Amino acid sequence: MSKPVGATEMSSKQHRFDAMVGALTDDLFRYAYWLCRDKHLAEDLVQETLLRAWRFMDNLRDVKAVKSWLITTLRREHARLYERKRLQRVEMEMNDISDGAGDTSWAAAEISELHSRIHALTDDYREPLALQVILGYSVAEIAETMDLSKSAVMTRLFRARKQLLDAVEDLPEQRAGG
Amino acid sequence: MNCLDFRRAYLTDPYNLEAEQVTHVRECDACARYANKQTAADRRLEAALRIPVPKELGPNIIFERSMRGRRSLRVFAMAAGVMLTVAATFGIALYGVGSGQDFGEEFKGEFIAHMAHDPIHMQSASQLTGQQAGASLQQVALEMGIDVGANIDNVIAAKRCDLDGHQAAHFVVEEEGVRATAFLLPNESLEQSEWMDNESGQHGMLIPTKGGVIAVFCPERQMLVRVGEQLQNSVKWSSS
Repeated sequence: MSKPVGATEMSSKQHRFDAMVGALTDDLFRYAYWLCRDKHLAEDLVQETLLRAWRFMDNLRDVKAVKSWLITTLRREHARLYERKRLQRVEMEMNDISDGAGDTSWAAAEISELHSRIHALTDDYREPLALQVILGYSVAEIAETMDLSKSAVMTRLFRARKQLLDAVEDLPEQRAGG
Repeated sequence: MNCLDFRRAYLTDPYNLEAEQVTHVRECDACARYANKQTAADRRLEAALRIPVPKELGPNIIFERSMRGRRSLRVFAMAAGVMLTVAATFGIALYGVGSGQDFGEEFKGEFIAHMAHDPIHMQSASQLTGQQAGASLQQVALEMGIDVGANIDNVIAAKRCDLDGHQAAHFVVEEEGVRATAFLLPNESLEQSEWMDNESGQHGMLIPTKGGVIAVFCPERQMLVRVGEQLQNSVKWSSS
């Protein structure tokens, strides 16, 4: 029979867990969101990933490897979700991901427009961009994560950024105060 | 480096410029202006990608959720106990009520997911020998009241795991570079043997026995069947 875990031991484990994954949770959510383009699904993916991290915490000794482990786990959870539930990749209405501040400034309008453009990217282009910009992955790291060649990753990043930055150029340029 | 190559490289990875690219932007005014313009645009792109995060997301919620699952199981067990007592009082025969839970479709996926995420599956045998020493299969199994016999060879890692609330002795066998993974789950039940074909590159067998369930996974069918039969013949559960 296993020994019950005491309150002190649990608290210590939770502190270690917070130290290990706490700083990564926000970016993990952002990456999950751009992977599945659904806020609630992203929350579920992150919750599931962190739950697994909790269970395997004692085996994750290398702090540097934690980030890559979390991303790999989340990607697999995302893939399982589609295998299990046979979710169809349909055009989804963009969930409201604004922070609800009611900001009607030009900056908010631009952000909203960029969100639409990012949503419109194919998965193949959107994911490497998210890995690079949100998680700071290098081309080599993206290639390893997505099981692609470096040249394929570079092509996708170039095309994604070109599509989006061309769109940014199209937006009317207004500066605050005039 | 010419301007076209520089601009293409800059659009691909503005965060990691190579020495040649840095030299070019210092020497070419047009590309320097281009780089400044793209950097500003890239900042706006980054701001768009960094969406707000729900306030309730975080490790604390994970901890609460994992504990909530265990409380649900205890409530279920209590309710089942009450039900049995009432039934016994009235002499009602209850059929099909066992001490364990049958695995549904979802739980089969849990094995695959566990293997995918458990770090021992991401390491080579030589790495595991050093790090996982001290927890032989016999030790792990003994702690869980399981006798695995003496004939399970080539075990490279063994540990006790929690699979979504179910305790399992989890171990890995490697022969000529091929790994078979097995889970021994005491006090669990299964109506009949089940096969899983090519789930994420693994074939699997779930084997019901008196006292527990044996689950084996391997990318090669022959090895899968051999290890499965070996375990079925040698594993003894303390509850049976």
